Amino acid sequence: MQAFLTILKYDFRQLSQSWVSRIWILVLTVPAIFLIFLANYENELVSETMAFYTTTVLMPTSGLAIAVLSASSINGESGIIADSILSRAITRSEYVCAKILSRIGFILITYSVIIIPFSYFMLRYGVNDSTESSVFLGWIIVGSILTSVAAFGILMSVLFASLLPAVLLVLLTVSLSSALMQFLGLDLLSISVTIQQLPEIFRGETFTSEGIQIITIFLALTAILLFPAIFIFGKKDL
Amino acid sequence: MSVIQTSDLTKIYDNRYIALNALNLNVEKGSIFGLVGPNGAGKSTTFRLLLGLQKPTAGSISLFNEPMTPERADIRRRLGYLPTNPNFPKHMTPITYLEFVGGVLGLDARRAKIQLVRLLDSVDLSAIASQPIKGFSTGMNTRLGIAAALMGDPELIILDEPTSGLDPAGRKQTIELIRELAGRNRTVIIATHILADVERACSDVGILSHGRMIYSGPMAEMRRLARQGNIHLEIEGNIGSFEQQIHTLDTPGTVTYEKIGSEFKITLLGTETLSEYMHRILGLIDKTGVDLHFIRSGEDEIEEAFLRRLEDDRTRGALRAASWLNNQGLENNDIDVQIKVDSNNASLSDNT
Repeated sequence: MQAFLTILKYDFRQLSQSWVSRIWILVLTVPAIFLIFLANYENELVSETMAFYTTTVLMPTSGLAIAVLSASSINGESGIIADSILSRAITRSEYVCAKILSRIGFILITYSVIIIPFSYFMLRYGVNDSTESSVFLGWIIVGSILTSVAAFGILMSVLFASLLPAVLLVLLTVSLSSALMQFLGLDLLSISVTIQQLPEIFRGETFTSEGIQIITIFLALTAILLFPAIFIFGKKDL
Repeated sequence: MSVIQTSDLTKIYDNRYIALNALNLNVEKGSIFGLVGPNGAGKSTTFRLLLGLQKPTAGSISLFNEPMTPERADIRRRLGYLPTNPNFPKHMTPITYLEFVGGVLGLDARRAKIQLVRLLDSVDLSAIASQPIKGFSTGMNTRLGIAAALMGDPELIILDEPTSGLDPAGRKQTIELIRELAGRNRTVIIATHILADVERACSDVGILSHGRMIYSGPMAEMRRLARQGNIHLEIEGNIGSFEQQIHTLDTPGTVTYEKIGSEFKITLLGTETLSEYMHRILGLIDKTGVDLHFIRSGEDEIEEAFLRRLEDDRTRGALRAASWLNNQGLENNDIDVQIKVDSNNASLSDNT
């Protein structure tokens, strides 16, 4: 357990010091502040402003940042993983689980650190057409989507020895999967369809059960993606 | 008691390259085992398999009488490993890295601190303990790797090229450290191609060639085999008479002679024992009345013995291959197998 916690702590510290994380936080924060001021002075609707922020700022920048942070989780340490880490008293499953927890944990903490104050100030200064619970549900849905993207990135990190193809495949898959799911009629699995529904979700115009269904689908997808990552990593020659 | 035991350990990469071929290795507790062999012989692969970093294609590994698998962190807790040219997280310092290793090993923070201070001192890195690793030389990395390997006070220490990149003082210090560890009932296995280090530090030695163990035994036996190899002497006086009579000392074909001026280089080919032959040589010197300037048996003995073993293995390999091809009936004009074996070279050529 201590080995697991050591890797978790080490990886978390590395993530918090990385330039990708710093830029990601900055890129999310500045437009969020601007939109809070805009909502205050221009009397913008909370639901529309938050949905706009999600579509134009949060999803594109987070998609890229999460693709890099998750796809570098395992292969980013390929030079030291055998020599410095897995030759010590740690199991592969402990290592990969610590990595999964730290990467997804870091992504969700960063997301929450931006979204919670943003929502608070939006509800306070914008034209309030939403409830706290509907906003909460909306952000949980977005969080579950980001978690599944991170899980896919971690799987790619296990499968690919170098970072670039892993990141490109994550971005390509996320971009194309929405269109594909829409084409197949699987709207619940389509990220773009879900994001388009956000204004209604924030206003509380959709059923909570429908929101929970979306969250469950993306969390199940996360689990489905992480299981092979753990399994394949356990079988790999280092 | 065996600390390391492998049985027919085999590793084949991508169904193409045989890195290890039915390796049977046995390392006793408290010994310092030197694994020597040329580059690509399979030394590092052996270590990676022992550590559970790779999975064997066939065969089995047991450490401390328990089967080793990638998930056996409990066994890895009992061993320390130094890889060749170790890679460390470059942004860390020796202190933070050893703290990290201590954490992975499950040491409590206070004990880890005490241990890392002691180890940094013993590998002479105290002065640069708070500098980032990214600026370190190969020698500094090796020393840090040794400290990391010893962090959990392991029972078994696996060192891959522990003296690579070290200056003579660092090498001496490392060899002394290895000896000291064995004195504390620790088991050490070292892979190296620096035979002088093996001779100075190891109690047992194994020679790997093309993934096969071609010799394994006590260092003393290796030394004996090596010394059996050659005698170098210089005489003055009636050299002609000595040269005439030296042929009568042995069975023809068991000894070769080389005369360079007043010096004689005598190579024993295996059936003669050094002490008996030396006795006869001294008798001949006495009988012919020549003055003996010096006599010695094998100057760079271990190296010569090592090379001889590799040469024998190559010769045998060529013969085995030829025999196999002939048994397969490939001699019927499909492949013309030619074997050339001489004292310096053994080669197999096929003219398809």
